Amino acid sequence: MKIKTLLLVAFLVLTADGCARRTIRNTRHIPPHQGQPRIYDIPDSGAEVGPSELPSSQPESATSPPLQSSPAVIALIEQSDYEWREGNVSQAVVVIERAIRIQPRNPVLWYRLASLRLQQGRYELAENMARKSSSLARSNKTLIQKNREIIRKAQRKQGR
Amino acid sequence: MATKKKGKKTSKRTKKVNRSVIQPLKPYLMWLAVVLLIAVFSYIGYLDYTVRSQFEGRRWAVPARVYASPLEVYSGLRLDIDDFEELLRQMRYRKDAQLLTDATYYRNNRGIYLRTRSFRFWDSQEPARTIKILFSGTSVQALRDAATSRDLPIVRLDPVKIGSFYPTRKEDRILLRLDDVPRFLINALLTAEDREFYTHHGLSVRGIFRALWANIKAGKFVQGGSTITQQLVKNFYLTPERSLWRKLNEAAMALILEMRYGKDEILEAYLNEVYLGQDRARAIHGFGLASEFYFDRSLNQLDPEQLAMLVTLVRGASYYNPRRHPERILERRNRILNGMVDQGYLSSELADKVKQKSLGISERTQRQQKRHFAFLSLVRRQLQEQYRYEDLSSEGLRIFTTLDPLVQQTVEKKSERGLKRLEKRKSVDKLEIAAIVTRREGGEVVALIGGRSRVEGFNRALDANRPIGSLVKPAVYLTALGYPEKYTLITQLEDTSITLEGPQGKIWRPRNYDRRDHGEVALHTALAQSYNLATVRLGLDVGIGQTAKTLRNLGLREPIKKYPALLLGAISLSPFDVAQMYQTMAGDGFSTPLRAIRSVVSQDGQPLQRYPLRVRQVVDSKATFLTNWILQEAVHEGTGKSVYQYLPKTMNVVGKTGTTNNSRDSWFAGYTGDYLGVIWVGRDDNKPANLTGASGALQIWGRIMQKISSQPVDLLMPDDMENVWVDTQNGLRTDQQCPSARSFPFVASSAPADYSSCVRKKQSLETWLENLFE
Repeated sequence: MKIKTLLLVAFLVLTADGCARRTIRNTRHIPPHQGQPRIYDIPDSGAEVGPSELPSSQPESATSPPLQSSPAVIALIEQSDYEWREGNVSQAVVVIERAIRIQPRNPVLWYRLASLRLQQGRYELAENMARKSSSLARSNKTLIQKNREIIRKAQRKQGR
Repeated sequence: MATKKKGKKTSKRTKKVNRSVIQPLKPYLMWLAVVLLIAVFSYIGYLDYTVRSQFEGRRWAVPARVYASPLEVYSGLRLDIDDFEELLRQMRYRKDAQLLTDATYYRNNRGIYLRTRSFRFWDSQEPARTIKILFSGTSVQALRDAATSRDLPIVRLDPVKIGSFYPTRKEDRILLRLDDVPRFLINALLTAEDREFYTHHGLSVRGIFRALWANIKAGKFVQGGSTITQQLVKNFYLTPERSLWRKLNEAAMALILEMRYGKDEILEAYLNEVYLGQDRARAIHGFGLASEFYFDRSLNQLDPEQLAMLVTLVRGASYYNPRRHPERILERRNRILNGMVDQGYLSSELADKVKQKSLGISERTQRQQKRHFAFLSLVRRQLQEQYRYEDLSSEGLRIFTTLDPLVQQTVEKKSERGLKRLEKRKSVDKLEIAAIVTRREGGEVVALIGGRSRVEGFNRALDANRPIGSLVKPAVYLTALGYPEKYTLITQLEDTSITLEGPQGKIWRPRNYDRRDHGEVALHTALAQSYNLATVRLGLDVGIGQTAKTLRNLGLREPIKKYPALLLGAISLSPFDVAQMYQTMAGDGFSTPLRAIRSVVSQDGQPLQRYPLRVRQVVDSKATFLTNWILQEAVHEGTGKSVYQYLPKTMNVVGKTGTTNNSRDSWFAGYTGDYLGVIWVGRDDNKPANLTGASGALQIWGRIMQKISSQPVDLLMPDDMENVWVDTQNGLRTDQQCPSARSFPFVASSAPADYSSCVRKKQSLETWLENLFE
């Protein structure tokens, strides 16, 4: 059951990732970080989300970023996706934060962070990250819609 | 002669006495012997306990190491090649055209070739690699793998080490495991110090005799007879006094140590314990740190001649100090190499080759250590919320911070030059400064100075609470603009004199900076021109309590006294507090705690804590947008105009000046698209500095941003807002064609509904034409 879900998730990620993936697929091999210590954050309250939640809230780069994504940011998004597929959600967060440092006003990156935080069960952070993403999204209706979705889920989980 | 005879007589007598006395005492002597034996055994037990408890417990207090933010290089990054070279020096990279070892680089006219150090970050290991970075103008044009010439998307370099947190005894070391130590070093060490190490049991009789013989032959002390085990015992457990009793203890403990532990464990402890140099108050212990201290690279990166040099230091790190007495060390190093040939560790050809090499000691920049004290004290404060100082300074933690060394350097330089210029121009002296620069999003502190002095002292950025003057005003307007049905950018305010009765019947009669009343002014003008009277009236109308609430929402944690004078900044805050407030404005109403730390990692590489990116929406985004919009105007046309002496107008800077009574404090707080900066200039004795916010702090802010900032502010209008053309003559709706028309942002349905006369004519004409053709 778990393996099936994981496969489904992996498939979704591979298919949902848009043009970004195609452009640099052959230029960079991201080495696996096996044996590396995992990061842990200062824990919030709230349990981890079960695997059934994963497919619907998985990060994706299909939405067209209003900022021109630089190869550096694309590489970091890829690395974050990789970590996420490996089940290292915390590591995926760290890598996305690096990308945000390079493009702090890119709403897609904030959205990705929001969805990762949602998976970690850190609902308050997820909600605020999604709001931040929307505040930067200009007229990107699809992205704003997705952020609303995250906010709705996060609020429901927080019992609001 | 007489004494001799006397002596003989006495001895004869004692013998007689002995025989007669000992006989009856025999059983007691037995007991005495037993007691003595017990005492000796207890003492040995005590020594054994001492040896074990220290050897098996935490052996050393290892200071925490603090790192700056690592530079992430990618094509398109704004980076000046000279600045980058300076950064490489701070990272302790060496110029080497052949890139023979890690941490080397060379520069040609197109860019920089770099062989990086491998570095363990909090999240993953960055491998050492050889890359080339091509520059064009002040940015990175391309980043390539040097071998394959393939483009690399991004490379994270190893960070600059900016300091350490020491325990009270300033011993410093980098712990090594025996497996990480090059064989050559161990061979050289055993040759020089203890050739029978692997065969003796803690003491070496042959060693003692050989040392004795060597010393007699040389006519002076050239060799010690102590084994490595004895030396370790001496350093580890005993005081440096020279006495027989200590020598006996040393021998006993050496035997115990050898009985209890294996040779490798003892050797490893020795390699980490031995004293190898002094860096002012800091004692350099162990080969791991000595390697960094003398050669700026890790032990396994060293060449044989360098390893041999380190071994010579064991005999006396100050006598053989390679930076002071290179000739002494060369002589002894070569003697060790000869010894290694005798021992069969080295061929004589290779030894000769190694002897030809110079020492290759790195230069030591003296100022590096204390330089970042203001920032480090912030790091320490943030860490002490979670850690005790004893743990911070002894557990060998590695602390990754947010400091950007290049921005820090710019802030230091521009501040010092700026203050000198101001002192000259305004003929004042003893000006002081505090400055903080953060990333516009995310709240990472990238630079901080606590005063002019770079040595430890009063940290004004964190601890100097000064009245903030007009820097408080945006909070007043932000509060008012949260009621769009009542206040818009074009609401008319009365800028006329006002008298208030304060606590205890004290009369407060605020005035404008230019001592004039301006009558009716539009709300945006009142803030952009920083009019006091209009602001007080607005603040009283909205409520002082409401403004205080906004200040708290913006991130202020200090207690706020709700007097009317609060509206004009009668509240004392540190530059750090002010930065926290303005960070929320820069984040479009999302607050984010100012962070100086990204992660803390334990000595063995386990991540202990991470300080993640956090945001929280705390003030209304529309009101924030409107306030930011006015603060852009304040810089374009108002009190902050002179920013554009330093930056192009397209940067759309958002900022606010602040001046307090009698020009005691000069403030500027503002942000560009990438950085937020808060600067205070004034005097410690609180005497007038003859500076306004604009003539003082702003000038330095402008010079800093000119150097570090490249992104313009692009304010994004939230939903449910619109831009509407307004006739500034009468505040009515109009269109672009009208003279005196200007576009203002409004919260939806708060814009004026009625049209100005100039539009009405046109409109009626259009309606008439439309009617005609219908």
